[in-house]
Amino acid sequence: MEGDRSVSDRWLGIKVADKLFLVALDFSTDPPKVIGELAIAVPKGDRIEGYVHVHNRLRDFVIQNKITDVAVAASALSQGGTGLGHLKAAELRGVTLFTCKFAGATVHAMDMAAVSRNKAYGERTAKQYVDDPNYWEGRFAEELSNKDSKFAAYTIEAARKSLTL
Amino acid sequence: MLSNAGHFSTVHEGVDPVQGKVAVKIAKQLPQEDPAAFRKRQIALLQEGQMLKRAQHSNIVRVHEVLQTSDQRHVLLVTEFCPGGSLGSSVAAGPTPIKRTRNLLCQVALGLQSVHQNHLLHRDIKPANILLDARGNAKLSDFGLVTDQIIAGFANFQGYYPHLAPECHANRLTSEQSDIWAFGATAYRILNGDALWPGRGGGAAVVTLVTQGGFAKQLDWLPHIPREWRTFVKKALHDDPTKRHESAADLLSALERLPVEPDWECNFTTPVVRWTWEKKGRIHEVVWDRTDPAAQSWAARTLPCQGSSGRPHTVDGSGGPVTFKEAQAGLEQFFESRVVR
Repeated sequence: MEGDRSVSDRWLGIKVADKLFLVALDFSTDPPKVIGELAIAVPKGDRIEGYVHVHNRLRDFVIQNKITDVAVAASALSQGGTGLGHLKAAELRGVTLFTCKFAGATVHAMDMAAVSRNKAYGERTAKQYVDDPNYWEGRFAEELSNKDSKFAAYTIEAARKSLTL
Repeated sequence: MLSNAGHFSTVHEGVDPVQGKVAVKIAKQLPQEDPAAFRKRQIALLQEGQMLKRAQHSNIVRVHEVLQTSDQRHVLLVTEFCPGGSLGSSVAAGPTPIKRTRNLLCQVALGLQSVHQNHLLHRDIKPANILLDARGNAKLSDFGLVTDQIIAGFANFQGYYPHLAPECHANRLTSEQSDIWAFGATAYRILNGDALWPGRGGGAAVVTLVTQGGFAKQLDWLPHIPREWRTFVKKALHDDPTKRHESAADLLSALERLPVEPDWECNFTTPVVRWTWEKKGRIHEVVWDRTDPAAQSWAARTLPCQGSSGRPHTVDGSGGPVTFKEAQAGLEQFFESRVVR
């Protein structure tokens, strides 16, 4: 199930919250193009069964879109304390990391706070980049429907930049 | 051993030295069938194997090999054996609880997504073509009508008649949207069982209703089916294909949002309908007595599970004989008030 890296570099960015926000970009063209955007929710009811569903859908997305690399924002400690929502998101992140690797992609777990503090990207936080329309000018701004998707796309950019530093 | 005999082919259980138990589909020559026509069907069986291979997915029956006998008289399609049988028998037996229905439909939608992403149309989605493996996982099967001859999103007119969308009858074409319709019909039948399905007396009744328009609005529902589920199925069965769920991915996203609690078990085999649901050591029970069509009644109560302490407790009910419509309305209100959203 290893992705065919010789065909193209197809990247998937994932924002993990109460659901997964996925954006897939194809970098074999210039400029790169959006090849997929999807939200996957943990279905209502039994949470473990829900993770199985998320695994199945995410696995299919990675395989069917021939994704080679996946960038996922890593868990961060919350200054406001860790609530049930954070723990559930961390569980979902674990499912996400495992599934992408299982589906044959190279997985980049990104520390978004560190990335956005690094001067190679500027002085702002990831959220500030996502909220800045100027940053997105010419960067899939029309294709991506919401801020969660933009965050996922930003995660890809950060991961690719970290590989070239 | 013969496990299923269709009009055009038979399915046998076989044993493969590597795979273990397998299913073997063999095209059978019909009485007075022209040898050339039979040969054509044998080639179709070979193509079915190729389509199965192309759409390969964990929710699609796995093809092992296609064989030809040495005298070239028979083509054998050898696939994964699914010991759980098909959903055809379970919808005939009655409704499936919504939690199990959601799991099954998610798996079928994943299989259908793989079919469509491989530029194929299934055209034969129905409970009898959904098989269950040893772990109860659903697998889309019977790729005999699957086609890759798609021009501008449309293929020619073939399919299981009772599950054909209205536009198929009108324009003699099939599409991804007609697969979505068939998925909706299948979802309805899994949820309600076949007792309420208009096609229980034969497919012609369904075709008449479908071609008249407004099919989804005419469907009867078991009172415990939550309104979100009804909306989900009705959207898949919308007369206008552009107003249905757009894709298998859309079906999956919609399924994720559907409520699954309480997960009522419904016994719909007799004039007395009984629902049960177990939680925290108590059985929640609803009984609808439909023996006298003119004077029906229903009652809801909770009682301790076997081995638990406590007394029965009446929760709600019709309070005496009521009409069918009043009983149905009362039950729908009762079940709706208990849905966990």
